[in-house]
Amino acid sequence: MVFSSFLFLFYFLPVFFLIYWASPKALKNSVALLASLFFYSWQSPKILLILILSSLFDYLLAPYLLRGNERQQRKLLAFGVIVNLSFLAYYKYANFLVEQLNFLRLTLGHDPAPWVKVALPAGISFFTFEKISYLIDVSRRKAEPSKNFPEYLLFVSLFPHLIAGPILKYQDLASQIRSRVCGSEDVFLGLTRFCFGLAKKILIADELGKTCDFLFTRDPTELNATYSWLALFTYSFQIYFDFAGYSDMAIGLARMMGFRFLENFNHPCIATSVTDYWRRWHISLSSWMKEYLYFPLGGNRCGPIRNYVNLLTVIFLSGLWHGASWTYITWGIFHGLFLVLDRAFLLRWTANWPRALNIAITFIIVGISRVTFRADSFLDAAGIYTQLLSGEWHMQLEAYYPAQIIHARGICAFLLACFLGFAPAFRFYSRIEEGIKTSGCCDLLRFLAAALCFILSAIAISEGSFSPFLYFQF
Amino acid sequence: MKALYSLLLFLLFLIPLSQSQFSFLPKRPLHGVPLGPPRPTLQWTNYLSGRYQSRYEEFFLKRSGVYELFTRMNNSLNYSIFGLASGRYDQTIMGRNGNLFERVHLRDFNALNAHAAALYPKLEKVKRLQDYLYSHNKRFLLVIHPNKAMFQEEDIPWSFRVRNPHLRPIVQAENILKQLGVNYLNLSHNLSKNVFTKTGAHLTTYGKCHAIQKIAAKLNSEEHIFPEIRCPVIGKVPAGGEDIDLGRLLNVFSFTSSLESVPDCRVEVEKSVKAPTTLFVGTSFVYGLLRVLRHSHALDNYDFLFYDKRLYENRNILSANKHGKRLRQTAEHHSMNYVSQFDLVILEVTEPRINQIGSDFLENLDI
Repeated sequence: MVFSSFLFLFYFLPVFFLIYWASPKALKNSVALLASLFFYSWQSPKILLILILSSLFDYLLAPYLLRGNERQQRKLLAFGVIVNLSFLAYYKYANFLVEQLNFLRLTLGHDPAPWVKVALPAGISFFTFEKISYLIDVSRRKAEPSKNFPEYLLFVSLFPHLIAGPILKYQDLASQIRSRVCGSEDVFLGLTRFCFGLAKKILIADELGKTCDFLFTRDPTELNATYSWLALFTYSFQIYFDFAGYSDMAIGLARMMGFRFLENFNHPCIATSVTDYWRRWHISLSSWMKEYLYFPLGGNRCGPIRNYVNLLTVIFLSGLWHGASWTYITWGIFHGLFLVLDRAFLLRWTANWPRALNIAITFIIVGISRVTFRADSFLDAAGIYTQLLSGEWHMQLEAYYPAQIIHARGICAFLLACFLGFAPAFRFYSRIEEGIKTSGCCDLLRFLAAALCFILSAIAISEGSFSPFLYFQF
Repeated sequence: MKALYSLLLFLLFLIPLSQSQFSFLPKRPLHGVPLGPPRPTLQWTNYLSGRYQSRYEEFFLKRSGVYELFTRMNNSLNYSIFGLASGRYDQTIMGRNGNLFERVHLRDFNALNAHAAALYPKLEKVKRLQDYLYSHNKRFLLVIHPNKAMFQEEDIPWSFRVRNPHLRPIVQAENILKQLGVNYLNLSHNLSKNVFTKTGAHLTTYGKCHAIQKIAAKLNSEEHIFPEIRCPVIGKVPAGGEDIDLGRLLNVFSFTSSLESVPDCRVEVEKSVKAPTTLFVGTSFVYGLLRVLRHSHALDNYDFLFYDKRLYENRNILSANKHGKRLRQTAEHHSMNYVSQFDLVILEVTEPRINQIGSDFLENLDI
């Protein structure tokens, strides 16, 4: 049950909020907790118990992180982090590790080790990091240990952020769990934000995804430069609007419950460098990496070489966090190299270049890295890179007709993505935003836009399952 | 005002639940789309495995009471604004001048289904079958026909054409057939215009009648063994397809408002001549021809081996029950023992798929 599914939109959401808003204040957390546990059990029923038990483990361990001497506290913290990471390691990386081991064994002439593949539970990468951040913040005295297990469990399992973030810190949410207000403004802003996020996902990301999925699953030798660049740009937009849309929906749902989540994206399409990009993209992850990895490793407080190593280490682990595959690791290293180059000289070189040029170059660099991120293998990625430089720019291919790849609706989604992605770089955009905010009909415009986004998205959702059978009468 | 706007927006989320309880919105079933699955039964094991959840989501989507309405709204938007047909796998393709095509026909048109399978051995087997039948004083005819996309090439937009399409196998096939001396008829060169409707997938009655007329003429070229067919035009029919109407399958709110009608005809069959006992091996093309002849009693005794392994015996294709009585083809039906019962064998294949001629029947035939 994802946010953009029929069942969530028209059953879970309305029923939950009707009960939630009607509940007395003392019961709202319980309602939210039960709904969140049900939501997670719908996705990954076998993992729900592990989620609860591992949260119980954190809850019981946290008070001991403040007792005893510093050495004992560090040992306990390490124990807690290792236990949490071991779940992540098993469910997310065991298959990958066994594959590599079996590859080695086959190369050396041995039989592969028997292994039954492990299914990846939804959201495990996100809630594991939140649980680790809780333990670390408690040990650093930045957060107090939770005195109420249901409240802690609610922090971990709150359904708006459970599956795909934003990655939250316990201290940001704890006070809101204990006391929060949910007025008509919160509901209005939350509901409209949710509708906008839904439209980003359904009307833009999913539409572009049709083209992307087609192109990335073909033999690259059957494509040409036109379609390879198209694959690069459509995937760049698809992944942004998919993730940003989901974050908008999460933030909107939380706001409807009275919770305020931090923003997760800040117009990454208009980043002027890879360094700037990581300040705008998946902000909650990059903040987590900075605070719990980069700074403890020394950050930029050590010499330049050590700084570069720290950057590469952190971004390598970011790549690994995204997925258990060499393509994700390569993507991480690619970004790491550019972060190092930025530190070394690139930022200084490009400081006086026109902003539009820096934006365009950064967008292309990030897009190029995305080919590795999306491709099924290095071979496929290499094939696409070859086609990018092939110089064959015609619209027709030999193996597919153009309409199989993109059509009018996809082109509209692409143009809309370009506008929404790049327009914030222009002054007219902020002038329009300001104008709407100061006009007397800001709420009305927001309501109409949200209603339109919701209706168009809801009817587009039905298309995914619409497949008339031509020969049904035979 | 924010509270009012929130309420109005929230009410939109309540529409399907309300519809499932009170059915206040009109329901019109979608063409070509079966009803959704029934509500799944909740069991511990199927919940833990995730099967219950996926089945319930499918059930809720299709049975919520708004799926048909939402689908038509989405399809209508796609059609009226973008000129697109909706649906997974692009089942219906929008061509020029209001013509609709089946997706598979576009692939055939672009020779994307043209596999480099060896033609000569298959056609050589057809020749052996023909020789066997002639030696036993029986007759044989290979009928090749175009699909709609091949016949109306000018209505395929550039965005549905590939660059440098492969050579279609029919070119090579006709050379081999002539070389071998196989008795064949390629209807691509013989059919007149207006044999397909704008939104139909198959030939109209007029088109089918003309096709049978040509087949009869070919069979009678040496000896009068088949009743002559005439197709006098009696008026016009709407542009929708007779058996498969791709326009209806678009499932939009309004369609075919301005499409021109096509000729309609009466099928006149020579009464003094009865067709011989005939074995047809072919596709929905033959199915359509037999339906057109159903009132004429021209064929009293035939079998039809339909390419997806269905078997129609004698007149059951003409029964009142639309689905007729279907049997299964067996190994026995792919034997010369079986074929020998018939005085005439007509093998039919669509032009771009000539290398799949006779499908399992020819492949398994013991000749």
